[in-house]
Formats: sequence, structure tokens, C-alpha cells
Amino acid sequence: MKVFKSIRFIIPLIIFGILIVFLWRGLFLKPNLVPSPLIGKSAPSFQLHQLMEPTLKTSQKDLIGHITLLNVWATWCVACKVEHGFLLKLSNHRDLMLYGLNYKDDATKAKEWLNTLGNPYQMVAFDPTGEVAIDWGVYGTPETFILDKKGIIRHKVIGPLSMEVWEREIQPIIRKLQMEDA
Amino acid sequence: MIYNWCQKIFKKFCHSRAGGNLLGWIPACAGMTKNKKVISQHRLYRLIFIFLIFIPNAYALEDLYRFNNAREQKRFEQLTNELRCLVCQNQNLAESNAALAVDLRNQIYNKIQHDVSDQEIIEYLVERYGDFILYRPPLNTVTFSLWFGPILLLLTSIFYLFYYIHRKKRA
Repeated sequence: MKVFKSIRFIIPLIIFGILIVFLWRGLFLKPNLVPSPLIGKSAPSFQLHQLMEPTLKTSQKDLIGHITLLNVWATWCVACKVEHGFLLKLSNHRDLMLYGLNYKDDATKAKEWLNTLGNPYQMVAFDPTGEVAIDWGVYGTPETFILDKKGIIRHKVIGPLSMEVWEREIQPIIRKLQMEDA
Repeated sequence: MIYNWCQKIFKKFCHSRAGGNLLGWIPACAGMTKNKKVISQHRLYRLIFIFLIFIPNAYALEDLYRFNNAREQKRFEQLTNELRCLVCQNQNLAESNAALAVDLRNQIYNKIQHDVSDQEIIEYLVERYGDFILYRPPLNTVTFSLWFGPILLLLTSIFYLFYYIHRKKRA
């Protein structure tokens, strides 16, 4: 009991220390990055018109057979303009298919955007109502999904792509996918 | 108009006996009941008026939707109040004006019209957005401490309190 009495004053200090650890960690959490429950599942099915060829349709079947980056974008989205330059660079990557999902946008504006800034996508699906995007769990643009050859979602990046994000998050996954195929 | 109305009601309440007793601790009101002299009465009215403006108008939303019966409307209200808007995360779907919240409200409305059960609607959204969309998280290994942590904390505090009192009594 005596020992307890002499060290009792430390208890608040310990509690304070634990609190500090939690608060400190809390400073660096990003609650706006909501993990997607779709990871590990196959791509949600959809049927949409293509933006550039409105007479043609596109579906989740177009995502199968190659590693795909499905990029959700819109002309009203400022961060999409930020990542556009990087997407153009990425379009030279030989092992990747860049697939665009144009989200709640105006077809004329979207086409104009791609014509003036350059079109990094091999194919763009046009989702003016955003219903398909809801099936994909999209809650903000830009968002990018990485899909393997079988069309299974392996990763989701929230926010604009950049060289830094590519090196840190995407490239390791792509390497892993390439290894799986080899 | 509302300002005057608020002023009248407040004055009446302050001067009535119950109001006087009840609001005795509010300085302006205390001044009114005791000395009949009020120093910052107007400032208080203004403050209350400002608060009134910010009372959330919960029923404005339902005007946009037409329901076949009161039960459907109740379900819609409950669902949109319990689901989180992922864009502005401290608001629920009923409160938020974000485009996605509007879309999800429409989806919920359509599903209610098509006789989809509450459980299925919630599953539909959790499938896409994860447990995060629920304001009441489900009980699983991840959320275990979230559910039982506070109770545990309360029990330990009560235990310690009794231990402390007991010791003081003995001394």
C-alpha cells in the first residue's frame, strides 16, 4: 500500500500520456479517405454510352483482359485538372489501360476538355446521372480504381494522381499484378 | 416581424412568475424580475433572434418528395437521418446539400417507392460505401472498443469512486 501511495501521482501522468498518443495520432488521420468495401470484389456491372462515340456502349466487360486504371473525373472538378497532366504522361504506359468515367457532366464540355487538354483515356464512359458512380461507391472526384486482368478491384486512390502517389501507392500494386500474371 | 414576436413572448415569459423563477439565472431576466430595470435586454433579444434563424428546418426536405403514406415518409426520414453524407462527413443525408447526398436521397426515395425494405436499403449503401456511412456502427471486432469502451470506463470509475469513499470513511 505504501508503494502504491508513493507512485500514485504518476497515474494521471500515464493517463495524460495515453491521451497525448491518441490525440497526436488523430492529427494525422485522414477521415475523408473512406476505405472502399469493393476492394477484392469484381467490378460492379454497368451499361453506359461512350463519351467520344455516343453510339457505342461500354460495360464492365471492357475492363477485363488488362490491368486497368479507372479514373472518375468531371470538368467541374478542379482537382481533376490538376491530375490531368500526370494522366497524359501515364497514357504512355504500355501495360495499363486508362479508362475514364465521366461523372455528372455535360457531354459537350467533357469532349471539349479532352480535345483541348489531350485525351489520356483509351475509353471514356459517360455517366451524366452519376448512378453508375454510386454503384462504384464514388463520393468525390477524382477517384481512381486499379483493376487486375480479371476485372477485380484491387485498390482505390482518392484524390488527384501525381508522380508521388504513383510511386507510393500505385506502382507497387501494378508490379504485384504483373508478377501475378507472369 | 419574427423579431417583435420573439420580443413579446420573451417579455411575457420573463415577467411571469414561473419564467422569472426559471430564468432568474439569466442576467437580463434577473434584472427584469428584481429591479424591473433591464440593462442589455435588446442584446438578449437579438441573440435569441439569431439563434432562431439557425434552428434547423427539418421538414423542408420532405416537401420535395411525395409519399403515398405517413409510414413511407417516416421511413425516409429515419433512413436519411441515420446515414452519413460522405462528402461533408459530419452531416447526415437528410441535412446535407452536397450533390451526392441529393443523389443518395433520391435513390433511397425510389427504393422506398419500390417497396425495398430498410434493411436492404442499408445493405445496398454499405456494400458501396462501407460501414462508415452508418452513424450507428455495427458491432464487430473493429468497433468492439467503441461500443464497450465507455461502459468499461464508467464501471472502473464507479469502482474507483467507491473504493475511494470506503477508504476515506475508514481513515
